[in-house]
Parts: sequence; structure tokens; C-alpha cells
Amino acid sequence: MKKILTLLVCTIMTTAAIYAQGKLSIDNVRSIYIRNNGEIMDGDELKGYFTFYVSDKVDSKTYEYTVQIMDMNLNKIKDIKFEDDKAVQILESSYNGQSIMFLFYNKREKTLEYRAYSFEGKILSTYTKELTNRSKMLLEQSYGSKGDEGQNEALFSVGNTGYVTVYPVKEGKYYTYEVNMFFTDRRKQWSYEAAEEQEDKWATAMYLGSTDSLVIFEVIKQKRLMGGSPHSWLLGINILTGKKAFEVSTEAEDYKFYPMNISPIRGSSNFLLMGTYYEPDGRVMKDASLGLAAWVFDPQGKVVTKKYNSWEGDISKYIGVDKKGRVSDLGYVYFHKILQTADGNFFAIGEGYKKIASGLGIATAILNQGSGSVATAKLRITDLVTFKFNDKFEIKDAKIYDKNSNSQEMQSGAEFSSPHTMAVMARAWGFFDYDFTQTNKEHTRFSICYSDYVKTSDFKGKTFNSITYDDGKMSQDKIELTSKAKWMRVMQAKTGSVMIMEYFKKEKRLEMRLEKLN
Amino acid sequence: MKHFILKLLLLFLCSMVITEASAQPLLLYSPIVHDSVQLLNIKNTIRKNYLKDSASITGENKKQIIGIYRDRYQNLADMFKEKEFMNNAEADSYLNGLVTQIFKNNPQLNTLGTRFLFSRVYWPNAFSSGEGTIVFNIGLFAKLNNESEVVFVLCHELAHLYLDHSNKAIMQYVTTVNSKEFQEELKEIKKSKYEVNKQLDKLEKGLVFKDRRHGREHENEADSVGLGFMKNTGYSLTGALTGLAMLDIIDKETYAAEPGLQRFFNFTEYPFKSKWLKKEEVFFGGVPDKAISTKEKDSLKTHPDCKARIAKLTPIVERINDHNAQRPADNKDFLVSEAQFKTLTTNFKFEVVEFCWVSKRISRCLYYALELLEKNPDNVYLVTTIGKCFNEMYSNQKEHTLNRIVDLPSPYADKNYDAFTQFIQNISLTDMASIGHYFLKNYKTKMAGNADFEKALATSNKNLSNPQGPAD
Repeated sequence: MKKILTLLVCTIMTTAAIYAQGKLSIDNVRSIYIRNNGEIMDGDELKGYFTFYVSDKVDSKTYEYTVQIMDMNLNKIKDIKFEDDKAVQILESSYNGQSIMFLFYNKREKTLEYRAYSFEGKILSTYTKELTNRSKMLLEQSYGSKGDEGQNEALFSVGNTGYVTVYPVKEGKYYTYEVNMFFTDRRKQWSYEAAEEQEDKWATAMYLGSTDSLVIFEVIKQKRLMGGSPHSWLLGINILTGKKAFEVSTEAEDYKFYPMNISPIRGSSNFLLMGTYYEPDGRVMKDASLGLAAWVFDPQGKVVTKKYNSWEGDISKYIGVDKKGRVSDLGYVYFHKILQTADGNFFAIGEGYKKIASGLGIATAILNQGSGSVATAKLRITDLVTFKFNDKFEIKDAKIYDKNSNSQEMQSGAEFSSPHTMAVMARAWGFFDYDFTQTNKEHTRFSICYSDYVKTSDFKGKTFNSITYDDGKMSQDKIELTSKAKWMRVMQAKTGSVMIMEYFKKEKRLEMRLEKLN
Repeated sequence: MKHFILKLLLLFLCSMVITEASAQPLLLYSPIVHDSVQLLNIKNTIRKNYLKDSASITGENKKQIIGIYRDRYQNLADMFKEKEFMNNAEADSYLNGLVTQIFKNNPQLNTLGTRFLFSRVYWPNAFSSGEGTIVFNIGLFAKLNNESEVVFVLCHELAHLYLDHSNKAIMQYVTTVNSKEFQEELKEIKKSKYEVNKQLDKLEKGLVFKDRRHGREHENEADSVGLGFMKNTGYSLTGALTGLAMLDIIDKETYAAEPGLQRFFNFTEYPFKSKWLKKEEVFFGGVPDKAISTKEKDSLKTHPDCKARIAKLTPIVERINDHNAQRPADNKDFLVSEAQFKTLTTNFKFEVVEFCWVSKRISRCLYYALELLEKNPDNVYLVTTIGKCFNEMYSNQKEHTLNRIVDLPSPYADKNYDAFTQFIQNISLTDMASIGHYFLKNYKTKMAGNADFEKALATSNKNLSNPQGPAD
């Protein structure tokens, strides 16, 4: 479920056990307000859920809150009660096998607070960060646009050691970021403020993962806020000291490399990064990628080996690709996820897109004598595609998964963007059909989940689809989103399952159940 | 002397035969046939009583009390609708035999207008609904050791009815929550701007504690009055104590299924996979909420701790037994029929499986069927039911409705059963089709000709030929 910074307030009146006309009962006087709910992640793996609600009003500024924690099988495990400012909400939650941490955001006080709890519900540690007005605005603008649905983007578990966080800040004229590490096995915390050394006007960081000694981020820097090319860097920070171990450009003499995912290498302190690569002078937001790359780094940030799989060369042996890098019928490919499985193979998951003319946009422009609110070009989202690589990152297979194409109208002005820029916008606005990829911590299996709209003689409507890799085999599954319920929604759940929510209006009943994917 | 020894020998041999007969594995079981006409008559009687009781209520809280009576009736009606109740000549005749033993020397019970029903559910419980119906779950019956334990439970429930606990509790609760004082307190709380729920929690806790305390007092009262009824029956009063001791541990499932799973579901064509037994990583310590203190937890229970109940009853039982020391013939564990008790105990274990199947509690059905299969290895009914369970899981998993019919793992569940539910979560659609098919196939030679078995096998064949389900 998308996490947004606006408050979600819902009043729940519990049903009356005994109620007579004109008489009160305990149940119909009591009320609680749900603030929000979300997943509890341990790295890539969903471990549970939380519901955060106002359980009482203490005074004009203070509420009593309850965080109800459920395990991955929807069993209620714990209620944690505390008092806090009335403007507080939970953005994310993470679990590391030893404790659970919540990221609280107080819009009124402009603070981020990280609070770790033990299994007994006792606070282990609290760290508060104050935000400037501009940082607050930046956070609210950018939060919720980066990750897979249900995945964290600001708070991550780091083994059994603690949690690392990253969030955007505005420091003077710089748009920058801050990294914090909170230890749960000792009373220690460090902060890394990128602004201290920043030269470019704009920099944003995305957490890639960790090794035994490092936490690693992809940092995109841009000299100017408007215009200018973004550049990709790899930042490694020592887990224990919080000192920068390295910050290296991933734009080499041969190619520009944009890492998307990290994988530790078993039996080595080296790690592997996977992502797309471009011409050395390529414009990442505007140009098509040349293919998929894997770079191996040592703990000092030095590149040990590089492997490239080009559209034109290696990949075209498995799938039709033209000179411009367009896969037959698919168009260009936007990569949602790359991961390595326990058997050593790599998988890249992408979705096709094409820039096409928009009849609506053209008509609007004509009617308004050359200008309209709708762009004259739109993005067509096509099929899903997976690529399989061996442990040496040599491509071994590619498969296209048919689904119905859908077109997304864009705002006026978008027609001047390249299809790749439009794809980036489409990703931010949730236009792709890809929903999320779920995997377990050991990466022995994964499921790619996406939506579709189907029109056949048997069924017409939305479907939830999955492609699962398990035991070396791929399988597909589909759930038709139709039932006797007023509405039905499929959400992320523990690996191999989804959560199906159905609301039955007549009975005023909300049913939540887990179901395994096939 | 010779004749006497021969008689003793004969008696001994007969008891061995009876024991042997009940210990021998069952090859065949047919689900109990129920008299639906008779059940309908009972339901109509219950409805007439509900209407009569409702018509007799007067006073300002009449509407609410009738509402509670209606809910009470509806609960029973739902049980009829779900086919929970049994009506079988043999089982009912036996139950009536036990009831007769209680009533014949306790004539004050004859005016209560009671009806006794067996319920087919697996969980060990019995209850008096308060309007004359006393329900005894076969899940409880099957775990008791003798008639005297069964009779103690019946006497306890009769005591609740005799003392009119249920209706008194309803009256007390309705009177309390509608009292001027309570309503004024609620109005004040409602007007508060702050700490509304805190005040409500305090008010509710007082109410719950009061009700629970009365509930506990009622339980203690039902124990001692029930013991008084039992004293007049001729049954051994020790059954009250051993019965309570059994209730203390009765929720624990004793069948550790993992070795059985590996044995029953390992086939040459489809070997057992160790990953099917993999347990999910424990989350958040893996234990349920310990926030409630032991004292508060116990005080919130409806039934006080069984050990405390045993401690209260033991001196009374000892006193009565000492008083009756001259009449050892009174200390009987069986008065109606030991053989019938044992037959019903065995049959009820199978009937629990059948009702779990009928009510689509498939994980429970499979678990209990496997447990029984250990002791009844070639039982057609059990083998067929296990095959049917896999077929049912397969067809539900295809439609993504599996977890409507099976239980998910839970830290609150019994450990043995919880490990079993984990197995179900770990097997894939293909596994379900394959395990079900190869399991039934193993019995094909022995059980060919049995229509239910053949049908289950045919379905499993079909599942195996298209294991992955819909894939366009």
C-alpha cells in the first residue's frame, strides 16, 4: 500500500453489545481513530503489520496512541501504548530479529523520531531529528515515490545490529540527504550529513543494501536543480564508525552505470551491484539504456570486475531487439527490480513502454489553438519481461509475459520529454502495472506481482498476477479481482502469499485473509 | 472353589476381550446417521420455549432482555443450521441412560424441562445455555476416561440450570448497565473532552471483574451443587476430580504429526521434502502478549483455574468418601455400559473427523484423521478422508480460498497442531495434487470397490494431470 504523508483518519465506532433507545452503552460511547497502518519489513521480507491508532485524547495537545502489531499470519502479537503529540504518525517500520523500530513523523513539530521497541513493548532507544521547514516540505514531496508498493524507503534493518535510515534535507542552498545508523545491540548512533561535503546543488540517496562492514547507497547528484545531467555515485559508509569508506562515480570511461540492487558475494567481503548502463556521454533520464551490467566492488570501493549484457549483442540472442534497444513489441524496458537468488542466478524484472501519439492530446491542442492540458504524446505500457543471468552475470534466458497494454495520458509538456523521462514520471505516478516483488531473506524464491485488466468471454475486469520463481522453476498465477464483496484489494504479504481484503457492504464486514500464490 | 476360579477366569477373559475389541484397529467406519426429523422437533421445542420465556418478561428492561434471549436462541438455531447437533438412536439412548442415573435420585431436577444434545464439534466443552438445553461436545466426551467423569460434567451443567445462573447473570447485567447510576456515569464520561476511553476502561473493568467474579462464584457453586447431584447417583466421586484434572490439560493436542507426515507422505514417485516441515521464523519473540499480569489474567477468566477447583472439591469428595467407606459398591466408574462408553469414545473420534470435513475445517480434519490412522492403518474411511482433504485443499488453493478452510500458524495455537498447519502452508499446489494422488494410489489394491475411495482417487487423478491450475 502506498504510504503518504497526509493523515488518514478514520473513526471506528465499535458495535454496541447492548443498546436501548435513549440509553448509552460502553461500546457506543467508545471511539478510536485509525491513523495509518503498514507493513513491518526485515530487509526484503515482510514480517508483520502494524496499525497505529488514537486510543484516547489525554489533553488538548496529547493523545494516547496504540500500535497494534500483527505477525505475518495476521495474529495480534502486541499492543504498544504511549502518549505523544497529537500530530504524530508512523511512516515506516522495520524489524531486525531483535527489536522493532518505528519512524514517527510529527508534521507540527517538524521532527522525525526513530523509536526502537523490545519484544516486551519497552522502548530500547529513541532518536529525534528536527527538520527545517524546507526539509519538511522536501520530505513530504518526495516520500512515497521511490520504492515498490509496501517496501520501505527510509528505514532499513541491518542484520541484528540495528537500523539505517536515509531521508532528504534542505541545507542552505543544497538539496541533500542525511544517513543515520541506530544500533540496537549497544547504545550508539551516528549521523552522516552529506551537505558537509556536497558540491552539487542537488543530491539524493537510495539505500541499496549492506555487507558485514558497510552500508551502501546509490547517490544521484546534479549540479543544478533545473536542467543539468544527473550523475550516479556509489557511497559506502562504515557501519561501525559512520565514516565514509568510499564515494566513487559509477560513470566510467567505458560506460555510465546506474546500480539498482546489491548482492553480497558469499565467502568474500566483495559485493556485486546490478543495474542498467549507458553510453559514457548518455543522458540517463532521456536516453535508452544499453543493457544490464554487474560490477563487483571490494570493500574499499574499487571495481574488481565488470560484466555487460547489451541489448544489441547478448540480450538479442534471447529476445528480439532493434538497434535503438527496443525489444520487439515491448518497446523500451523500464527495470523495476534486479535480484540474485540463493542458487547464484540473477534476475532482472522489467516492463515495456513506448511513446505514442495521444489522440486526446492532439484534439485538445487543436481545440485550444495549440495548447491544452493534456500532452500530445502519451506512454503506452506494454508487457512484463524477465531476464535470467548465471552467477557470472551472463544472460541465459529472457521471457516476455503478455498482458494488456494500457496507455497513460501525460500532462501537457511531457511530449517534449524522451520516452525514458516519461517512464520515470510514469513510475513516480504509479502508472506501471508492476506492483512489487516479494522475496524471502534467503532469496530462495521470489514472486513478481502486477495488475492487469482482462476482457475475455469468461471474465472482464481487473486481475492480480504473479510470476514466481521457486526451486529453479517459474510459474504463473492469477487472481480475478471479483467477488461478492463491494470491493476487493490484493496487498503484499509474507513471501509466497498475498493479503486479500474484501469489504462486504451489506454485512458491514471487512474480511482480511492471506492466500498463497500458486 | 474350582467353579469360583473358573468364574473369575471367565470374567477376566471377558474383560480382556472387551479391552481387545476396543483396542483393535477399525477397518471401516461409517459416519453416524442423524435423525433430522427428530432434530427439527427439538429445535421447534427450543423455539417455543424461547417465545414463552420472552412473553413472560416484564419490567422496563424487557426489550433488552428479550434481545438477549433472542441472541441465545439464535446461537442454538445456528448450531442446528450448521448441523452441529447429533441425533442418533444409539448415542442418544446412551446419553439418556446417563441422565436417568442423575435424575432418578435427584427428583428436584425433573421440573427443569431439560434436553440433552451431543454436539459434533472437536473442541472439548460442554455448556448449559440457560433455557434448558445442555450441550455436550463429542470432542470432550472422546477424551474422558469413564462415565463418572462424563456424569460430573453433566451434573455441573445441570447445577447451572438448577441455580438459574444464566438468567440471573442476564438480569444482573441488564439491571446494572441500565441503572440510573451507571447511565449517569456514562453520560458524564461522554461529556468529557479528554480521557474518555480511560474512564470507560475503568468502568468496564469494574463491570467485567464483577461479572467474572460472579461467573467464578457460579462455577464454584455449580461444582459443589453438581457434586451433590452426583453423590446421589452411585458414581464414584473421584470422577469429579479426575475429570477436572483432565479439563486442565485437555486443550493440548497430543499428536506430534511430523513423524507421521514423513511416513505417510513419502512416496517413491514423490519423495517427502524436508522443506515441507520448515518452520516460519519466529516474529517478535514468538510469544503472545504477556502484558496482562497473572493475577489480572486469572481474575478475568470465566472458569477459575481447574487446579483451584480440584483443591476446593477434594476435601468434600474425601469427606463423602470417608462417610461412604462402608459402601464400596457405590464407587463405580460405570453404571450404564462400559462397552458402550468405549464404543462411543472411539466412534466420536471418527465423528469429529467427519464433522470437521462437513464444516470445512480441513486442517483439523486432516490432523485428526492422521492421528487416527496411526492406530487404524487400513481404515477405508480415514484413508479416503485424507485423500479428500488434499483434493479439497487443491481446489481451494487453485481459487485462492485455501485459508478459508485451513488454519494459519499462530503462536496461540497448540504447538503440535501449529507445526501441522505450517506443513500445509509449505506445500505448493503441485505438492497437494501429488501427495493426495500418491497417497490414495498406495491403497488402491486394498480399497478398490469402495465408492467413496474410488471417487476420491478419480478426483486426485484429475488434479495431478493439471497441477498448476489456471495459467493462460
